Amino acid sequence: FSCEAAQSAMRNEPAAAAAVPNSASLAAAVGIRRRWAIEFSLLHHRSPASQSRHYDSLSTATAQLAAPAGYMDRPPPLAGGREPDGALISKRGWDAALGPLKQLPMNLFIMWMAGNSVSIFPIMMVLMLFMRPIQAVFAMQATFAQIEGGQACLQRFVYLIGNLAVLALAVYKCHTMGLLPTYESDWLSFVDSPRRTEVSGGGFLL
Amino acid sequence: MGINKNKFSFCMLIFLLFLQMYSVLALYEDEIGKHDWTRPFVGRVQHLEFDLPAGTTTKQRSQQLQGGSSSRRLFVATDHNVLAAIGLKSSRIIWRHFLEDAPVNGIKLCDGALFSMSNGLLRSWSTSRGILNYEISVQEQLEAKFAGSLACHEDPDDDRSLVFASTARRLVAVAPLTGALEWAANLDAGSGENHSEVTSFPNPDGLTVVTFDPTAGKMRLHRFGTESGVAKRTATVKAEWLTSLQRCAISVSTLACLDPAGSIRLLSLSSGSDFKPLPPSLAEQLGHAGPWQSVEEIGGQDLFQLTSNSGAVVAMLDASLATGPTGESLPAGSLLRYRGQVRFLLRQQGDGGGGVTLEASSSSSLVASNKISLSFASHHGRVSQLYPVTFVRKGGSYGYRVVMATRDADLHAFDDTGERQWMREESLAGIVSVEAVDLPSADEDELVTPGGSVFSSFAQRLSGQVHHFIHVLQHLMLCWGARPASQADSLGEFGYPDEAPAPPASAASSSGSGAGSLIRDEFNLHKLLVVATKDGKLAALDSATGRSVWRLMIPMPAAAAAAEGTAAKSARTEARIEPLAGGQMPLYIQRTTAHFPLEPMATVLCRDSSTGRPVLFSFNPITGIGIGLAQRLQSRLLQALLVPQPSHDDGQYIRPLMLLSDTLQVTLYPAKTALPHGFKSLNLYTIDRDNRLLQGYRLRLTEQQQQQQMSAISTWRLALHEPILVTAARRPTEQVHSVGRVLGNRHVLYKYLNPNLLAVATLAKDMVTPAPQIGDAFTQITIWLIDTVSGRVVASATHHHSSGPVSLVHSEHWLVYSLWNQKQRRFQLSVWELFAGNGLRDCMNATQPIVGKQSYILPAPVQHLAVSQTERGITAKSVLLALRSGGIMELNKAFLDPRRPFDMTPEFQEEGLMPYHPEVPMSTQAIVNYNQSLHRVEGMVTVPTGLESTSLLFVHGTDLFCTRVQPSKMFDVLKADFDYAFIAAVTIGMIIGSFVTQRLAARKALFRLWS
Repeated sequence: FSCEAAQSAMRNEPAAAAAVPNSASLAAAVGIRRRWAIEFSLLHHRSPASQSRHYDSLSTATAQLAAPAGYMDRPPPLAGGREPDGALISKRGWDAALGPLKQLPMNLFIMWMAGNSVSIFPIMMVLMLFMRPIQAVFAMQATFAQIEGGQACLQRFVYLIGNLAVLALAVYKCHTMGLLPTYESDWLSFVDSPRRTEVSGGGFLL
Repeated sequence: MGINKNKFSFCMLIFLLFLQMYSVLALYEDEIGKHDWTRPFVGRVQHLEFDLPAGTTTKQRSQQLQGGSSSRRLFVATDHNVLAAIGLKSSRIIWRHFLEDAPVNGIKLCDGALFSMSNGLLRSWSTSRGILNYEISVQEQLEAKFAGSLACHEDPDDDRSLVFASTARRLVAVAPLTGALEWAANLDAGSGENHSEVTSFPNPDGLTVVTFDPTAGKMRLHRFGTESGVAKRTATVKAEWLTSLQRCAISVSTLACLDPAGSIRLLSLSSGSDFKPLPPSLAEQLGHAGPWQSVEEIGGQDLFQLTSNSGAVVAMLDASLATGPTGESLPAGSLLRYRGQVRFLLRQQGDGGGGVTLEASSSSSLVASNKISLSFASHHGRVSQLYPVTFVRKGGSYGYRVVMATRDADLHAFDDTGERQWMREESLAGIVSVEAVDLPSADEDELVTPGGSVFSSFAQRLSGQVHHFIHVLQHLMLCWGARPASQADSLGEFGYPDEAPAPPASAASSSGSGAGSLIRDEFNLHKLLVVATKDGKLAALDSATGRSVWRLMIPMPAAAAAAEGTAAKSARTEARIEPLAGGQMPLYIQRTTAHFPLEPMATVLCRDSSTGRPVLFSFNPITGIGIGLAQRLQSRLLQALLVPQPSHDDGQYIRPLMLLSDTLQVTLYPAKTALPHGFKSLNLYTIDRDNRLLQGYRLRLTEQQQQQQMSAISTWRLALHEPILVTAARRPTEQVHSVGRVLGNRHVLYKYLNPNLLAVATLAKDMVTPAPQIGDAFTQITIWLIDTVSGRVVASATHHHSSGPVSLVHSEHWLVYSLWNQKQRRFQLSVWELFAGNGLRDCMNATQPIVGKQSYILPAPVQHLAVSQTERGITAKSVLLALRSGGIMELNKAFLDPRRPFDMTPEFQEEGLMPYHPEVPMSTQAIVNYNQSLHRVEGMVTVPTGLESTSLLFVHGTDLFCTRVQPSKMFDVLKADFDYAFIAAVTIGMIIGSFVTQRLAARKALFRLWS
């Protein structure tokens, strides 16, 4: 079950990410950039006597001194700010798209373990099985937003198929548990008893 | 072997589990009589003996007589073959015995013990407890029907008493105390022994026995002494004109018989060898010339009471005198003797309904000194028999009591002031049909009948509420008036109070104070049971208490009243209402109480005994007041059918009664009603028991001279060629909730629901099973299921080596019946279930059902079967078995299921089937009447109530019993110990808690914002 927990945590990742609004994460990134910047030249040339000269000499110091090792004139770039690697994007997209399908064997095993009796735990398991793909389908927009790259269409399709497969598994489970009204016995109480059109009565001769 | 053992233990486990289910049906001691009631009866009294017999001489008896009156009782033998002791003061049954199915020939008190003679057996009973002292077979060989007679010889001089018991062939003299056989003598009864009759009378020195062979018309006299069985005198007398000894009266020395012309012939028992006619001079002296209707012996000293149309006379007729018979005329009446001395003469004046007057004369003058009038309600009919008795009061004066049987079989007791002490409604022991009526509802929803326009509905509602208001006012006024009277109603437990005598002109007794409580209860559990008895009486029983709400004698049709006088003179029989052929007296509820401004209407179909014509009488089943007069129909009826729905056209809501006459003409009753639309055909069937024939008819409407003529055409005819035992059909009002049965694999077996099926059981000789070594050849029972619209036999099956009694019950798609297996010597219960087939059609293009059958062993004999009925048919069904032992057993239908498998599979387990077990489990907890045994059950009626789980069960026979039956227990009612207070407290607490926490949460949020 620890395995399963890990899997589910993994699986939850895109969903959790999708739950955070995009603008917020951007603002956070901007905040980080603006929060600090090290002015190495100032630290170097500060003297207690010429505090007032400090700003005046800033421009000259910059011009005079060579940049130290590792110094970049530009502010440090963002983590994702690099040019994305196409293979990585595709890999990540496949991870997200194949997530539901990967869970399928595990779900099969869990459902097999749950058995066919109609009692509280198997019912809870089946409900969980229903809830996850339905939730995933509702949050599909967010997930799809993360999937980029040339194979996005295919990946989105695979993602949808995976969720539908889980849903199908849940429906099948309901069927094996006898919860689906697929037999005529399930509709028996809606059948009206035939109306009496011919009346007959009598008995021994009076 | 191991598997088998496991399987067996598994089966046993399931079986035990189901047995556990029944433990819930048990009853706590304080629940006895809470939802049920019992009224024990004895039936119509045929022989009556007082425990204080007049003229006893034994010393110990006289001591008893002067003892306390608390032990006074009367002993009765009735047409239900019951021997019982009834308290003379309390009217309660002190003890009661059900004798075998043979008429009781007589009962006698002799030497302190009670003797009964029936079926050729002389029995002695202890008077106090009813314990059988001994039983003596008068004849070695027992036959089916015995004539018998009983006499007691008590010698005033010595203490030696003898009981003489005789059949037509043999006479025994027995010492009453020990039961020792003193002597026996053979009587020569002639050739036609099976029909021979016998009567006997004790004389001072012995006994006279007269046997009569009606086939040969020969009478034989035997006179015996007390010492030996050698007859002192034997004579053969020819009497071809005599039909039965019932028309004779025997006394000490004279036998008086009525010939067909209605004149008296006398035979001297001591010397006569031929009958002598009553001389005309004597007849004149008697004051009545007309043909005599009956002759009775009274008083024991050659005193006979002769009754003619014009009156009755007591005559002392003595045929032994040489000059010819002489007589002495006295005023007619009953002579009450005490120790041989006449103390009172009671003369009955008038026998009409409403009461009789008795003139009591003391013995010295025989002149009427005291007139008392015994009054009773008119619904009892006339007086049929008076049983007076005299006794010594504590002060030494003489008093008397009169016990009176009326035409309706009720028993009344009066004291010598004419005040009625009690009344036993023995007429209710002869119930032939029962219908349950819902009480009128106080609910306004029922005021408006659906289907009208807005304005008519509004007007109907307004008028209905005005009616309701008036009704309530009347009820209040009645309550006010009845309050003082209601305190006088506290009579004994079984001695139900009777209403004040109503004037004979009004047909109904007033509904009295009982009508006040007749309002439907919340769950419609309280109903009125309208019953018709075989004596032509109608009554309504309150299903909650068993009390009679109203009683009513079916009146004779008006046209007959004029013709009655002439008919009575010619036929010398009095016209009365009696059941139709086969004891049928059907009741029809033509309009229910659901149409409030219109009063409910019920109709009874019976017969007028003088003309044999059917009589229809309508009445209001709630109040017992007749609607119109009784109608005599002009032609005989083949059958009658109550159309299941009323016609909505005329706003009368009367369900018409279709009457099929023997000329195949159909008439409706009431005549102005119309047939409802919407039925494809209306069919009738008749079962002819004599010709073993079933016939079906269909209603045909033809237009003739712009009038709709109704007639019937015969559609089918089925000759069964075997005697028809019983039949059963589905109740027309039965509701079926589910049309199929769900199997373990979740497929459906559809029920074969044909509402027009009739189950018939016939008996025939078994040609297959070889006859047993001893006894008669086997018989076989055939069960037929017949579609009564087409006459098609849907299914049939034969049980070899089986015989009756068969009882059948048919409900929904199944049939349950019980029969006796002659070979295995056990009772069996069989069940059929019919399922809709796979579309196979027979030659008449009807689908054939698949019939599943299974049989079970029933460890007890069954008298009657019934099935529980609920309002919507959702509740499981229970089969109710009236056992011979007196119990009513409730058996879940799940035990009687032809699909109970021999090998249990998980699929069957899923379906909830029990493994087959040949024996039907009989648990004492399944006996719904616990220790209140019900004997001679003649019918069980189940009525649905407003609660789906509950059905009312009414059992009638010699005893009446009514209870509630819950086959699936009370699933729709909270238990009595449900903790309302706790639940209410928790709910209110939760609501308050949620409000408080909401407020607190709001405050906390506010604080957090501020901080």
